[in-house]
Amino acid sequence: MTEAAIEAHGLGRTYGRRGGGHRALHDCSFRLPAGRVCALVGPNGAGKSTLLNLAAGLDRPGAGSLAVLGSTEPADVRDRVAYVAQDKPLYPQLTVADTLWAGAELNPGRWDRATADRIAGPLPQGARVRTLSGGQRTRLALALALGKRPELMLLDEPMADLDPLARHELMGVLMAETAEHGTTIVMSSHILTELEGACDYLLFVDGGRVRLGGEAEDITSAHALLTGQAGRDLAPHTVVESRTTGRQLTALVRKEGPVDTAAWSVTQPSLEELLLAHLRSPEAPPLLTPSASAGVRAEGVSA
Amino acid sequence: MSTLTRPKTEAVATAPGTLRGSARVLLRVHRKALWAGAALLVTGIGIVVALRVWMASSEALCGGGDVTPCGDEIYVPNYAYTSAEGYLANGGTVLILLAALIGLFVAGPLIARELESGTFRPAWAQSVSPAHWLAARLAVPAALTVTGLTILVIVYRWGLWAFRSGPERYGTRWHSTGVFPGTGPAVLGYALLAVAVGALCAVLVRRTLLAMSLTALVFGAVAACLSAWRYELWPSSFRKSTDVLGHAPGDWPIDSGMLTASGEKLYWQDCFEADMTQGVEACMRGRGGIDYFSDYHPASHYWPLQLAETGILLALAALAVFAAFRVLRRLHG
Repeated sequence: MTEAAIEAHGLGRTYGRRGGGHRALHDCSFRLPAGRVCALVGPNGAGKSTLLNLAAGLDRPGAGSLAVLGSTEPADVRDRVAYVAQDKPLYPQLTVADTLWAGAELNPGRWDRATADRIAGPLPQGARVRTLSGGQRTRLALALALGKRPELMLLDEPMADLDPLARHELMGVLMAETAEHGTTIVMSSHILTELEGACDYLLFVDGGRVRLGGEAEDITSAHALLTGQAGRDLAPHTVVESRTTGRQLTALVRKEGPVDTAAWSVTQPSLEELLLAHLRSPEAPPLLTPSASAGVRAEGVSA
Repeated sequence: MSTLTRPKTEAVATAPGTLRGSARVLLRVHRKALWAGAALLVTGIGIVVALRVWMASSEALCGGGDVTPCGDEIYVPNYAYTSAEGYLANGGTVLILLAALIGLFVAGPLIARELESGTFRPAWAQSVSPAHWLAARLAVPAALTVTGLTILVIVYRWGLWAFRSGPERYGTRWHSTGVFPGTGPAVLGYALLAVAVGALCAVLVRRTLLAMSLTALVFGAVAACLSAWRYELWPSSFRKSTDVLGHAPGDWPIDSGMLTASGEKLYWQDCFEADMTQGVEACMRGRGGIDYFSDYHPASHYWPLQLAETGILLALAALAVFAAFRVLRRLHG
């Protein structure tokens, strides 16, 4: 039986004054099973950071409920959750060594010095945080986050300012962490390719709610890219997006039964194509696989 | 992903630990400010010591820096004494300004800047609850300030002790606005209020400069009000006589005038604009004044006045601390 790392019901958060405020999240429901590496993707301003902020217990939802690691009060489990904010805020006047020391001080009984030192290893220990480059700061922030041995890691745009080599290396560290300890990781990005391959779970946020949620594989296999003669009926499938060029029709559909392979040439869309199609078609209905549906107890599959 | 070995979580008592950790991290982050505070403390002590050394080494024929022969009626203090009196007459004001400075520091760099720049996020994500985070930012400056100011109060009193011989000096009378708050626990009350108001303003407006300005405004208003109405904090003594009343050295005169037969109080200032040809006295008599009276605080009211002022300041500080935690809890849980 997989427990939920995050479970949201009708989550809402509005910034600014009532009425004229900006609705960052609205009626957002989903479930993230524990032990997954989840890509939280969506366009800028979709509500990704808001969602992570709420899950980290730094902010309170305006509506709905949010349970993190089984606790309905995310602030109560903050010692089991690590969070790295988008701008990687750290005390600029502290040195790298002091920052790691502070991590140990602030996490009594939990701090894993070896892990933190290993990740921060390439950094100049005596350098002040304000002199570090963006990538170095990210590395230090990740060292701080992994050092507390979290059960859930919330990383907001973690790889944005890392060079490909460092990205690959740190991704490897994160993967090793989750493989060894079953840590749940949520990584947000507006660039899917940054996360593709590393993540086995997907939450696609757009317009303040989750439009696609579930195992990355299940989501892609639930869709098909159909190419055929224009004018043919696409029923019973749910059309996400269709385009006609000349006499040829290309459609991305959500399969609602066996596809007539005689009439259509069928290909498997990539995750990126899938997301782009959904971004272009805001009216497409959301798809949450059973394990990502809030409120429904997922089947006891933990194989 | 079948092996879900949960990270080992030792059930240690984290509550006191994180507060201690927060405090230690806070001290390390603001190491420079700590050094600056220590430098201010040493400077304060140094000024008083230097003044006392100067007074002790200055030439005098008699006690209290008197340059006239002992035993006569004339008292002429030497330059060291008059200068020292001038400086020490403002010691209380300086200590209140120090307290205000600490309040500004708490409001700006300590709390609002973290809320503004986002450095509270890693702190709160590092197992430190917002309440602990704020508690450390209140407790550490409060403890350091109380310690430092206690030392400065003792040193300041020792400085004023130099004037114990010789006649009463106008500038360094116990009730003088520039002296009174700095000679007792009141200044500790001011410091704690400054810290609390700073924290409240910081969590309310979350902008460094704005929070500091607001703190200065609120703290300044409270200090000005207490300074203006300090004499009301304890019931004053009343004295009446058929002769003109003088004041004993150490008395704090509040009001004086004459009493009518029915006991109504006539104040001298009411007659200042009277017909100058007949004089104030005649004017008072003309209005029915019979006896002279005087409202004053004797020197024995020093402690009740100090403690009343301290009590008010501590109550306000407690209110501000409570409000600051409420605001933080409402915003972040």
